[in-house]
Amino acid sequence: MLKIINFFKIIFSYKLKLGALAWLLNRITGLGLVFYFFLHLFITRNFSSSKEQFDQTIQILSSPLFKFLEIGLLFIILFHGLNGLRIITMDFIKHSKYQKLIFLLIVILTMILLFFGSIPLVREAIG
Amino acid sequence: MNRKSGILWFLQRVTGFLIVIFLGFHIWIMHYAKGQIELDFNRISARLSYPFWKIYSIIFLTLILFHGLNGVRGVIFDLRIRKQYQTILYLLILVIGIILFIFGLKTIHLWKIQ
Repeated sequence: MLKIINFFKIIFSYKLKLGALAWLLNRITGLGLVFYFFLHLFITRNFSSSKEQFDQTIQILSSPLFKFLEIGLLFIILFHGLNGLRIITMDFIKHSKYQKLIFLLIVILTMILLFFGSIPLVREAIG
Repeated sequence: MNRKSGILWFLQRVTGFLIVIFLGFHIWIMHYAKGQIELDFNRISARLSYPFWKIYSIIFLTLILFHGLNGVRGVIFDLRIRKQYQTILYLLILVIGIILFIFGLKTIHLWKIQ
C-alpha cells in the first residue's frame, strides 16, 4: 500500500512535460475505457434477451443526459485511439524527433473530430 | 520471460490498431443508425443469425478484452509491488478476461428474433 502511494508521489513529482502528460493521459483514458466496457457488456447482456427490455433500455439511453455522457465518451475514445496510433508509429517508424509536434497535432485532431462528432449527438439531445 | 512480455507488447499494438478499425465502424453504425435507421431489436437479431457477423462480434470482443486487460496488466506492472501480489493480480486479470469472454459469447447467443 505504501509502495502504491509512493508510486503516485513519484509520478506527480515529475515536472509535467509534454511526453509525461501524453503517457499519463493515455493511461487514464485507457482505464476509463476498460471501466466503460465492463458497463457496456453488462447493459448489453441485460437487453439482449427480449425486445421489450431492448426498447426500454434504448429509451433511457436516448435521454439528453446520456447523450452528453456520450460526448465525453467520444472524447476519451478519440484521444486514446489517436494517441495510440501515434505510439504505434513511434514504436515502428523511427521519427521520435517529431513526437511532441505529432502529439499536439493529435490533440488538435481529437478536438476537431470531437466537434464534428458531437453535432449529431447534441442534435439528438435537444430535439 | 522476456519473450512472453515482448509478445504481449507487440500484440497490444496489433490489437490497438485493429480496434481502431472495428470500433470506428461500430461507432459509425451506431450514430448513423440512430440518425437514419432506427435501432431495432429484430434487425440486430437477424444480422447476428449470420455466422459471419457472429464471428465478427467474437473477434471484436476478443480484441477489446485482450487490449484492455493487457493495458491493466501494464499499469499493475508499473506499480512495482511485491512479486507475489503482482502474479496474483495477473491471474485475477486472466480469470476476469475468461469470465467476461464467456459472458460476451452468451450475450451474442441471446439475440433471437421476436
